Amino acid sequence: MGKARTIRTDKVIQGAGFAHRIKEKSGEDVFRCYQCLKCSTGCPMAEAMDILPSQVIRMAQLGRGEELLRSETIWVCVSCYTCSIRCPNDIHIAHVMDTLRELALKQGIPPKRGRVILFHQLFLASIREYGRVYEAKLLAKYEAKSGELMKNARLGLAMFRKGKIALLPHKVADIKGVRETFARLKEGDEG
Amino acid sequence: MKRIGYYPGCALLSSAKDYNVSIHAVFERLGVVLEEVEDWICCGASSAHATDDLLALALPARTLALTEQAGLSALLAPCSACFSRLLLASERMKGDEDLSRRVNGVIDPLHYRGTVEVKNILDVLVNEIGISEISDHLVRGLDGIRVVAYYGCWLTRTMRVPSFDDCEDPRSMDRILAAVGAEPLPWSAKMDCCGGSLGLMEEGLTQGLCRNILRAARDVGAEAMVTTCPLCQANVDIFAYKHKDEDISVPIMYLTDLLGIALGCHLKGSHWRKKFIDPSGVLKRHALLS
Ligand code: SF4
Ligand code: SF4
Repeated sequence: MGKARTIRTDKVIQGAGFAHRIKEKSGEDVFRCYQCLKCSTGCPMAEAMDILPSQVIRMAQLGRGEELLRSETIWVCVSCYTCSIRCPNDIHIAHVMDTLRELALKQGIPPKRGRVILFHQLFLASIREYGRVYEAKLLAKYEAKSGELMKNARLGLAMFRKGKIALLPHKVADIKGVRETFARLKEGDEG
Repeated sequence: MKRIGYYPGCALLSSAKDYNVSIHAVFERLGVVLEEVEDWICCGASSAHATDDLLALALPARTLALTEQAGLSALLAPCSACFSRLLLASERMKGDEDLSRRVNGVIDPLHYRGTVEVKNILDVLVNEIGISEISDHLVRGLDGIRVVAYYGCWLTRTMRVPSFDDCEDPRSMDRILAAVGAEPLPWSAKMDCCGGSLGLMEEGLTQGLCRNILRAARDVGAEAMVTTCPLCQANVDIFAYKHKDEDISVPIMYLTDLLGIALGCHLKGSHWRKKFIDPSGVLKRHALLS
């Protein structure tokens, strides 16, 4: 997600190339969409989006990559799958959202919601370190780095008192194997 | 005695420890052995699928390969997020040789052949164990406690994989609850999204979701909400706790908490205090707690 991962096959941001790249990478045939708007109507996050799910698919057809990769929408979508399950043309819209997020990251486009990507990165770092998520450390780091330290302190304390936060990490035995998997993915990315 | 692979997932080791406790109590009572897959790893949750598709497949694939190695043909994942991640990874690999080769290359020397059936807890309770079997073990009816069954997003939105229940109007949890003497109420928010992990990062964006869910529960006169997902439980419970002043809080329990009472399992008094909104008051009103 740093410099090393920036731009390799993903140079095309606009036009037909982008449309086909989305189709190929997501495996979803966005060209089947006929704008029935079912996806946007049922989306629980629509209010917070700058581009509605149906518009995302239309813009993907038109190859308007720049706007999509810089949109608020891709970081606000909660992957609830409501849109995907309802699409009459069997387009897994939520998966297209995943593809757009991944492309945006790989192209080094700064996400509109910085805290979201910070959380994801810390979460994955935790898996890489222990094989499982070590919430106490993840939350502490997240609070510190997002500058939200005091905001959730009371909740954190209450969770702690209720024994909802494990004190020690659960490290898996084959952590070497887990790290190898991460390393291979990174190599594949850069190669 | 039945045996099934068990994948608790990270939440059941920390924020939802109580869920893990009541699941074990209930399954023991029903004579089903939960065999925890040794050395299972995190499913990657939204953090993997939102950032890297291959990683989102590789993490579940490692656990699925270990499940196969342990000779288990079915894997129970009680958390809806884990269930969804494991199921979709397994099915995508089964249906795509090229993809399966790529993922197996990344997790080598582990190798997933695609033989595991990933199951959620409702599917196991209704279709593997059966409602009549559950009724046979009933020792204490739930006194008509008025509840709403909250299914949330991923349990039945299994995309191209046939779902065990109706994907827009599931009923299995309601049927189980009715069978043990609760009164499950029809309501409008049974499938509504709690905000998932976004609730932790961008609370302002997801508050409205939890508020609507609690309101819908209150509107039909529910005394408690019942769920099978630790993420749904946490989001709704924490929202209710933080917004006590709004007077819309309804306690939210796990299905296995209530089943535990119905089947006469021993759950400690402290079990109920694990929730932010303590359900003991409601339970005592129905003489379900001494
Ligand atoms: S539901 Fe499907 S067909 Fe309808 S607008 Fe959305 S993507 Fe297009
Ligand atoms: S998956 Fe994303 S786009 Fe689709 S309905 Fe849910 S929040 Fe909206």
